[in-house]
Amino acid sequence: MKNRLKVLRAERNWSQADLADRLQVSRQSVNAIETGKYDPSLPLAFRIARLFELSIEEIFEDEG
Amino acid sequence: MTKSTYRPARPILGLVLLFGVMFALIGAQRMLGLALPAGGRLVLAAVILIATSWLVRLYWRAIDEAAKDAQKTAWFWGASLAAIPGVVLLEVLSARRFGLSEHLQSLAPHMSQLVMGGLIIILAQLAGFLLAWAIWWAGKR
Repeated sequence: MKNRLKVLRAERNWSQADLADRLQVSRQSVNAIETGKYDPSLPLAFRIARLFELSIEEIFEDEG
Repeated sequence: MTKSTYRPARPILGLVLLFGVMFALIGAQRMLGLALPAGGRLVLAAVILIATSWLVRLYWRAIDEAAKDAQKTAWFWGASLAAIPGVVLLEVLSARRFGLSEHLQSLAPHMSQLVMGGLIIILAQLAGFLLAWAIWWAGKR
């Protein structure tokens, strides 16, 4: 699944570790989500959306 | 900046400490030639089981969903499938013509062959788990 996480993070000058701290996940998980190799669960997707004050669809793009 | 509460390392350190103390106690008991009565062993096993369960629960609650996914995959594909080569290894080790069983027994004369066999299976499963866990994380980099 494609996502805009890296762009959104860069716009706020956050490192992966900063974002990981804010989401209460590991930096490795943030990296895996950013690279599209790990799809977050719905609760985590909502947490990400709330953090960036966007909807899930504005961050994640379904490739199906 | 929010303060991170992602600290999965603490329960792991607790587990390492617990098993360190456990093995030190077993070692001290062997060196001093002491033998716990069966009831004492049962109580000790129950205490270790409760402490381990508590620490594992803390660990499970501390890790994030990706780490949980890695654990589940590693246990399912790594640890369960590794039992098969583990059994093959046991078969090879116990074959009389190789003499490996006697050699292993001489390394740990106090350990029964049953316990040794159990340990070999557990070690094989642990190796399978670690391999699958590493492959899972490598695929997400």
